[in-house]
Amino acid sequence: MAKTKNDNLQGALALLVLKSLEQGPMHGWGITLHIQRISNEVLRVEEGSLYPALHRMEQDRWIVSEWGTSENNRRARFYRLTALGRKQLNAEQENWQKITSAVALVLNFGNA
Amino acid sequence: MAWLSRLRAIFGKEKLTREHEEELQFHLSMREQLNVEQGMAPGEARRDARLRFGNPSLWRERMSEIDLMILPQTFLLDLRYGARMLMRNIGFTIAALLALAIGIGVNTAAFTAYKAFFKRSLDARVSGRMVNLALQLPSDSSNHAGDPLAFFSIPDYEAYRDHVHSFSGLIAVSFPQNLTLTGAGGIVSRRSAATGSLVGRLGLLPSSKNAETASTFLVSENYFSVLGIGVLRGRTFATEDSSEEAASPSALISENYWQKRFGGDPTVLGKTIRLNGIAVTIVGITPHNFVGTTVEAPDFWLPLGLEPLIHPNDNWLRNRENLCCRMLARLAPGVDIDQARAEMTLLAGQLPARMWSASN
Repeated sequence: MAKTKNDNLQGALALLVLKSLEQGPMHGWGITLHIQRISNEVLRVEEGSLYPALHRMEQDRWIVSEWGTSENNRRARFYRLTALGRKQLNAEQENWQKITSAVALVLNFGNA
Repeated sequence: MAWLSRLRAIFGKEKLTREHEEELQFHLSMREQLNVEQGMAPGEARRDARLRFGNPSLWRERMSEIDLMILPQTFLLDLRYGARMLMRNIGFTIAALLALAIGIGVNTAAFTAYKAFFKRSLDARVSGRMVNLALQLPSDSSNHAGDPLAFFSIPDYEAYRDHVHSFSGLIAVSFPQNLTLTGAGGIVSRRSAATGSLVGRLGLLPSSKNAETASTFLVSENYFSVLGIGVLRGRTFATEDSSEEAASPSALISENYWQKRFGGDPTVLGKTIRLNGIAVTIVGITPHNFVGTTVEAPDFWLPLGLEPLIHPNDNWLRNRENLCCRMLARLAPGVDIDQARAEMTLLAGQLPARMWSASN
């Protein structure tokens, strides 16, 4: 069952993390870099919020983690999307698009 | 099933915390490395990495909060779901509840009774020295051959009491019985309760014609001294002379009944009440919950010598065939149970011819 009633900030971070993990397993540091790079340095994930969010998502079984070796040969914790997480990602993505297009409609009103 | 992983998170907290720490360190050093690559001085790179992460103890707190705070929420949801399912199958729920309630109730009752009858030691000082007496019917006399007989007549009791030296004290106890209680004055608790009822509002108190009964336990006069139990207030029975007792009968009241019936009124000592019409004077109050050789605290304790007055048509004090009483004895110092048994058997054989002889 996908939850869609996450509060916006939390939901946005979760959405970004889930979307990043769609590419494959990543560690927390990798997620930070990934989001920053893909968003053209516009979005910066706050480190203090990222790990609690990951922890929460892991408890909700959207992601699972396992220890592996990082690119520079250090022990690192890798997160991987689960089927449940994939479902959640789709639901949140849809929800997000609905909201942004609705916001766009409001902002564009009167400009046309 | 998310709550399962949360439970695991709570109980495996140490391991989890260690993993979080390692993850934190990994992240910090990666950030530091990146900072250096981007041209920061090493010290500043490290400081910047920590600064970005914020207060680590605050962060630790947030991590463990996630484990702790979410748990009750999901438990509540599960609980609500469970209750809904139970409501849906209301018949099953009622049957299950009844089965549980009856099962638990019966178990509790059985164990309480078992404890009261078998596992409880006597309410007595050094109760291990107290013995319960019974005779064994001889194998040749009747069809109850070999059965133990735990009841004795008063004349026999007196014979054993006066002649068996293995015992430092021998007591006889009758059965609890309900006697009508009069002349005790208004009941404290009932009077206040009556003011709320219709009868009370009409200004009528429950009439004294309503027979009030009190549970009474008849015991030999030496009961309390042999058990080694003192009274809460007042004194116990005068032990020496039963006829003196009969002339000026005394009764003991249990603390429980004293509180329940008389509201703990201290003037109850010396008060004269009537049990089955016999005037007795309350001379003492036995300790709270003191049950002696029985299983429940009676309202009153009366000396056995009063029996002819209470049941005038049924004088079993002098009747050797009326097996009214159990006997319990305190072994004399240095005497073991086998010696006492031998002496009892000997004396039982010397008593006027009876249907049975004795052992233990």
